[in-house]
Amino acid sequence: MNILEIKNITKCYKKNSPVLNGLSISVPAGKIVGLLGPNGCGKSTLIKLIAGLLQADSGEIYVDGQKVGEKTAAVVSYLPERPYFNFKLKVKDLLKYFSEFYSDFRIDRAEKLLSDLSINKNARLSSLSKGTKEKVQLILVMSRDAKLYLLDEPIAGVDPAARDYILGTIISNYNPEASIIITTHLITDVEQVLDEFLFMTYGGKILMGGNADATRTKYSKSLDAIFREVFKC
Amino acid sequence: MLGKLLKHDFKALFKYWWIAAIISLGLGVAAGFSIPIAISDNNIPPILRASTIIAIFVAIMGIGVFSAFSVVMIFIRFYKNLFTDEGYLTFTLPVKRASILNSKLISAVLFTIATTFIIFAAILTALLIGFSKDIFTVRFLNEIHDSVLEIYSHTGAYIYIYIIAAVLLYISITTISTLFLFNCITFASTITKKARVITAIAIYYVANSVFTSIFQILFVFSGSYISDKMDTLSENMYNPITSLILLCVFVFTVFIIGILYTIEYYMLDRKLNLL
Repeated sequence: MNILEIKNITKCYKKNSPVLNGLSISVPAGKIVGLLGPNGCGKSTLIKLIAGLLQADSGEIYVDGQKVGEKTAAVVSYLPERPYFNFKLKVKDLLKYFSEFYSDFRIDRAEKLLSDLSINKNARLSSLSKGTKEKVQLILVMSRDAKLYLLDEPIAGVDPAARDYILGTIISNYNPEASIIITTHLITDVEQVLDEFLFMTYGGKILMGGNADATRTKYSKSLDAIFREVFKC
Repeated sequence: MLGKLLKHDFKALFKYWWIAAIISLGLGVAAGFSIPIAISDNNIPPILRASTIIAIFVAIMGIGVFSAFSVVMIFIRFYKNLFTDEGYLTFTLPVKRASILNSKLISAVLFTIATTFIIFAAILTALLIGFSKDIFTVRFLNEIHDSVLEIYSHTGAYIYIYIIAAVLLYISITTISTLFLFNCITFASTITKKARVITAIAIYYVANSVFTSIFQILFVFSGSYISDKMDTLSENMYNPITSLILLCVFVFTVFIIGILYTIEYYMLDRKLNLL
């Protein structure tokens, strides 16, 4: 069964220059999918459409068989590409907030992850470094038992050691029956965790996609090397 | 879920509001104690008299600032919560868009009403303390008492209807003002990426000027028409007709609320574009 169905989606920010133009994709349950493409090709736009933060000009999006809305928000766990919490809040306030609004939030898991990283629950977000803030966000998002995780550039802007931690957190904390969509242009770092991939180019066109292992075997190259060939300037 | 949203909105708004409210009441008390010195006929040193006058002025300004602070705080929270990066969290919560709007609207209206009460309380405190030893207070209270009795002699039991109508109209007009500002902020946020706040203020001033002019013209004409008709009425019909007019005005304000709410809901539900 597909957890995500996107049918003929079009989205324009300016008239006659669509960021996404008639895009149709489906994501099966239980897969980690890399949405890979150059900057500005529409990856974040697509993720925001699935999260319900943007409205499509045409087309339909279904998550777990439901149109995007209040019900799909209950099963989608979204990590934006930049910090989105009120920095005046303390980490423990956020834990409480997530516990109240998300019935699938596992506070014990979040507390354990925070403790593993020695992040003080009583610390205000404003007192944390950019990297630690991103880790707190990721911990909160991955501590939900969601059916679909949308991770928009989760490793952009963090050092390589933090990238390993973030990817490790993603792999070890997601529900195996759930799917994860990761957008990034840092393919080398993520490709080892991907089950499936989609190469997306400007206008939201899918140039290539499929099973990550099969593609690597077929071309005897890493996804990163294939990406560099496909998107050669 | 509305209850949870309301709890968080109230908590966030109350966090600083209560401090400002206590300061305002304190300023009312300070002004009250300054008034007798400022208006005393006794031989008071000019510096002391000038200081008390300045204190009263500062207190009045402070109470005014409290009013502005409350309004700005409510709308900054609305903007930040929905249209900055915080909106990513707000709009991905598993709640209906209507619940988000209702929570913002209810908390904004209640805090505006509470602010009005605090301002009245601060002014009343200043007057009662300031003139407590003066014949003015007794005369002032007697005047209010006499006025109420006089109104009652004309209205009879209808005075209760007028009081209820005044309260309902105050709430409905506060709701209209709040929704109108919400509309301006949301509209600005859907049409622009940058300078959203300035755009919202510009839209507010233009739209406010247009609507104020339209309603002033409407009320001048309808007011003079109604006034002419009222003159022809027998005295025993005056109160029932006035009640009916107040009811019509209230229904009209509810209708305006419905329109503004629908526009706001439509923009949040169908036109939301968080970039």
